[in-house]
Amino acid sequence: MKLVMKKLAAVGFAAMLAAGCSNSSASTDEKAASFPERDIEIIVPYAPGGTTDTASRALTSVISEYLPNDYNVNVVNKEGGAGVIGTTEVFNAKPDGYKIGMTTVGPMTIKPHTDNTAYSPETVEPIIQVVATPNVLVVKKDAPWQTYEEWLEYVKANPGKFTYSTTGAGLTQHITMEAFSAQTGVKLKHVPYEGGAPALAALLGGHVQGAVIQTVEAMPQIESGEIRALVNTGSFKSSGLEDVPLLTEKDVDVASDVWTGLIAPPDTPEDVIKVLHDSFKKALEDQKVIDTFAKLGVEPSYASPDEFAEIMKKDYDLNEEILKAAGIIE
Amino acid sequence: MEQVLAQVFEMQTLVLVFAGVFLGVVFSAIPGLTATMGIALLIPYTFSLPQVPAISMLLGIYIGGMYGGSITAILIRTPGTPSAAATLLDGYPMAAKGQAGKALNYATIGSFVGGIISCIILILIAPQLAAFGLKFGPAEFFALAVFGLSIVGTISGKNVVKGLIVAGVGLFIATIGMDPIGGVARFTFGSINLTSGVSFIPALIGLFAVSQVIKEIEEKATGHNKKKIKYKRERISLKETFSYWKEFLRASVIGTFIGIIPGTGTSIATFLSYNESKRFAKPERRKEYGKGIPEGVIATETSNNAVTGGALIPLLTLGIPGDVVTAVILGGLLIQGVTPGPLLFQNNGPLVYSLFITLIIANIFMLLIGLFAVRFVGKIVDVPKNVLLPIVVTLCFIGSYSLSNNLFDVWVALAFGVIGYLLEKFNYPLPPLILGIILGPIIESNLRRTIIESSGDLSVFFTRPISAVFLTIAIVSFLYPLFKDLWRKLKGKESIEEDIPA
Repeated sequence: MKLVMKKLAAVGFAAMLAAGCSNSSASTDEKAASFPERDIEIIVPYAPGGTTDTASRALTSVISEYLPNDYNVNVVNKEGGAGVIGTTEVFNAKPDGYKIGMTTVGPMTIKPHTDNTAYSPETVEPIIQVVATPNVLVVKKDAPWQTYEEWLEYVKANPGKFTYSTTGAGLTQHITMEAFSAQTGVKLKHVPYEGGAPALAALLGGHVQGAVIQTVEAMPQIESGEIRALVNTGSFKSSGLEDVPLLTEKDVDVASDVWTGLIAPPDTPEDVIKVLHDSFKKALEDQKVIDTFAKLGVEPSYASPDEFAEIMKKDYDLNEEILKAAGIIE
Repeated sequence: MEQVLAQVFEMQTLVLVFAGVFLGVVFSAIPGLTATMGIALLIPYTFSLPQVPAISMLLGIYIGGMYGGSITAILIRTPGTPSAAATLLDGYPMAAKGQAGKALNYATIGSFVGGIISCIILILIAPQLAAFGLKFGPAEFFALAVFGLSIVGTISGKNVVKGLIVAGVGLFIATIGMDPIGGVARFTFGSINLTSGVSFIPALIGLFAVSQVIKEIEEKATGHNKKKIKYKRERISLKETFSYWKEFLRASVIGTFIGIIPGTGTSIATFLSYNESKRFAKPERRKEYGKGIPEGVIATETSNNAVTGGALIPLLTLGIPGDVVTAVILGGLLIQGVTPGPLLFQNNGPLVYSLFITLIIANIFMLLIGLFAVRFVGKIVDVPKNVLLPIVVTLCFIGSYSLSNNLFDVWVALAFGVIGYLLEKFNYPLPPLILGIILGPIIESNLRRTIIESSGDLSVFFTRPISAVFLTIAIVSFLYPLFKDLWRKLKGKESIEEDIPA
């Protein structure tokens, strides 16, 4: 009896193995055709409620219309470590396309230098860039500088006097300004805060002379005339701020945006990436998503996997250089 | 105006506000779910709703969420939210004395009164107050937080020295993680899980709830089981409630005031309010604080709901969210096409009024839900310990995990559970530890910001009026008990064993 059971178990095990093998040896074409076969998970490396999270949720609310086989995409928040924890989880996930992640400038191009992360832009598979926001240098309405030129003249004449607040130490806003200082030789005083809102509050309360924050965060106060944007430190002009010059237009070669995009674990099959890319591209063009983004003040900003990889690489290299120059890393 | 009223009193709006408040209470009562999460998860659902009902629901969650944490804090010593941490101080001792019903009733009424008073302040003088909130720069934040530290004496119970030691440990724990100014990791030992610091809520859950479970197990194992406590359904008369009118009023004002200053946080309001309540109490009553008296519960629960109206002031008038919850609400408002800020009151007056009315309705719903729930939830006390404790432990660990879906946080809860158990075993008070963890980052980052801005000149702390006032009170609070003691000794009197509020 015992022996029979053992034999049966062995047969069953063999059958399972065979089934497993046949499954995995199926051609990749077939696999892509059937992808996805269940719901997909997007890891958002921040707490619920931020721009990255809300943008992800806006996209996933329509994604089932564009994904083959009507499956859904669920947002899972894994915050912590300034985005590194969630991004690491995506990096370590099974490369089957069922666990992908949103990532942004910080965890992808800054943290790898400072925190010794397991991943780097070269080791993840970019899917698509969905959002990009430039930063602006703003001053209070009663500040003496009307234009970027007047301000530049002041800071050149008064090195180390001008205080500006940012979203945080070692983030895009800070690094951009360090890059600006490195190129122009202008010395500024950086006062980091915990997020865009406190940085803005510090400016409004007169505790700093300027602030470098995302356009989204600055818009309401710019519209009401409480603050004035002097210069855009990003790569493009966002709506409502067409009159504000870019740094690149003022002969300073600094242009970094705060971008958000989707990545997959390394070695995810190309056709799976293609299915995901195509679906999310269509979702990004969906009117409902465009409307939601507009209300949030976020600009859809598409980049293909190759372009996205290039953007990541460019920022990654630039940040390394600046972090070294600023003495944050060796 | 009529149109606004019609919109607010539409069935859909009322139902959604009710649902919002209810969800808020449930989300904040269960450890590991927070009102912030509730709001964030419901925002996609509000995409398709009209403006007033959508925003009303979010405000409902906010109001309910401030209150719900008190239920678990009082009954099972598990603060579901940081804002309920101070409620433990007297809430749980009251429950341990068999007065859970009374404590819950006072928490409910306090929350309601705090909510309504802060709401009235919001309606009457929002724009004027918003400008005041902005006066708080780094120097002022630093001074306020140092003043907050002077509370250590109040919440240390008998042994102030041990309280100070524990507060120091708390301040140290707060330095773990990313340096807020330099952007470098400290004390993380290379772990990415620690780069954003020790997760606060899991630590809180561990310190109070897990440690309590360990203690109960020990008591059971060693046979030192205390007598069985039976839940009494106690009603409190209106007369009794009114006798605490000073407490309600003081806590409401403190809560609103702290709410107005962006970036301070609800837990500070509750601790400050508790401290002031004790400071103003009669000397013989002072000794009772921490042993389970209504004043302690009222002071904390009234002040945390009073923060709601206060925090909405900078949010609506300046577009600046003071904390995570209001930041999420801001996202919800933007989605609805409402841009809070200086122009909101001009361009969208009717909407603002509808929000005000909704806030009052939400507070009334919260009172009703609370008073109704008290009748049932209090029964938790009657559940046998061998059934209740496993449930509490499960809740603690699931809760710690679900906050950011990170197993590391479960270890944090467990580690802090052991720390909490050991500290209490050797008579070290736990609340100063929490205070240190809360105030540490504020003190450090603002001290350094002030120094950057003033180029190293420390005199700004005393030349800026608000900062000077807070620091002076803090210094007096630290020194007064010493001098008082010295004076007594000089006059040859015995030093009275009194636990003086710092």
